[in-house]
Amino acid sequence: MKRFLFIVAVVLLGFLLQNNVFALISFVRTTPNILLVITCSFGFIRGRREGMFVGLFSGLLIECVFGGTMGFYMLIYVYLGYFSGIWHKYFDVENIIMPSLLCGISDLIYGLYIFVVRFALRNRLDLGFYFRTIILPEVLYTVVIALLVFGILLMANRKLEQLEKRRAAKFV
Amino acid sequence: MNQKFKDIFTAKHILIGLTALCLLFIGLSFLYGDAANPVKNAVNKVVLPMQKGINSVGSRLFSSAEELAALKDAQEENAKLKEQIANLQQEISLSEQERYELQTLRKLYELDAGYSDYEKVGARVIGKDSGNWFHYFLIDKGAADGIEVNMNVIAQGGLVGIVTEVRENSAKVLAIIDDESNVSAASLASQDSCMISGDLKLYQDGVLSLMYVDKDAPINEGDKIVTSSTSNKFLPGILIGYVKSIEVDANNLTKSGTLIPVVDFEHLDTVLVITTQKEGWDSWTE
Repeated sequence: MKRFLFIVAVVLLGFLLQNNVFALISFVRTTPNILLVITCSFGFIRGRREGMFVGLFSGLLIECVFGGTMGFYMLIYVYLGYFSGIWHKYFDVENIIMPSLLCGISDLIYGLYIFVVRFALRNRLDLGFYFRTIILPEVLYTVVIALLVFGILLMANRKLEQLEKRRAAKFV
Repeated sequence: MNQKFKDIFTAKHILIGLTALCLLFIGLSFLYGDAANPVKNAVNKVVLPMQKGINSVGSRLFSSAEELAALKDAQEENAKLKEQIANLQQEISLSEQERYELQTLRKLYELDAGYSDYEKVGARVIGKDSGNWFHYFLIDKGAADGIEVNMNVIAQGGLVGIVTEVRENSAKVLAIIDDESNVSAASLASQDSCMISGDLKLYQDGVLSLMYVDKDAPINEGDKIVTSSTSNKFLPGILIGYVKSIEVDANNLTKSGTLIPVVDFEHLDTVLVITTQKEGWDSWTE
């Protein structure tokens, strides 16, 4: 239950930051994809299930507030949560560089997904241009933000796990 | 219990299940567009107040930082503006003359148009879409304030966009600079029709795409482009922008080019929603 509330709070906070604060201070007209970083971070730290769950929740939030086709964002976020969950067992949790780079790869996949579904299907095919001006700046910015967000989430998760252990010990 | 659950459903099963769920959602929202609205409304009720709070804090911080930086440019701008004022004053006297002419002509035709007559509701921009691909934004007025889908949104004397979704206390606006936006328009001087489309690629240079102009239409660089009276959703005569460039297309039948919008979309914080709606095709075909 505590974990559930923690996830809801983190995703909500990330969403609000992304759409207000970061949209205002957008650097060279680019906003980092914080919800994606949060989704991937949970995937790395906790594995595929939780990655998928956080992804589902992030996508749902975007779709409920901004509308449009339901399920479109949920789908990609769920898959990215699963994708980053795969790396869960390979990584040392103390390492924050690799997960951040993987957040970048996830953002690249996300960018290509939007390009294909929303642009290429309308015959706007200049991938090189969209890659240079939209996808690449977003990926770079996201990696930088990921270093920070991942570090914070890692610490918060450690605290939470300690709490959970203590509680489990009390019940046994 | 938890362990048992994990043994029965592996992560792959869950992934397949969630994929099916998402596809179901996509299918449902194509078939019945508004089916999910109760859920969306409920989520919005929780998120919206927070969004408003963070937005006001964020924009206050941001604007104070921006003010400091702007101070340097202010003096330079001041000199420029003074020059502009002189020019504008001349223009005002000219336009006053024209207005007098217009009034007499209008009386003659008993036309009572012009968008100063439309009823408007002021609204604050409380959130921009996440990510860098689209140009949607949220405003803090919704169905409770009489906002409906397809109402036109203006700011700074020009067209901003159109309301595409309405919730209880918020609404989603599709800006004309979005890649999926199309507005049927006309030149103010000659009423030759054209199409104004948002284009992500062109917008990197701050312009929109201007298309389907007749080859012989007398539209030139610097001409004012307004919404067309033939448009289905947009009220006639709202200023969109000025023609930046125009050239004859390869097909030698039409001209196309670019248009500079009058609205500064980077610094949009308040907008006006016109609550008068155009009586489009839908209203008289039904």
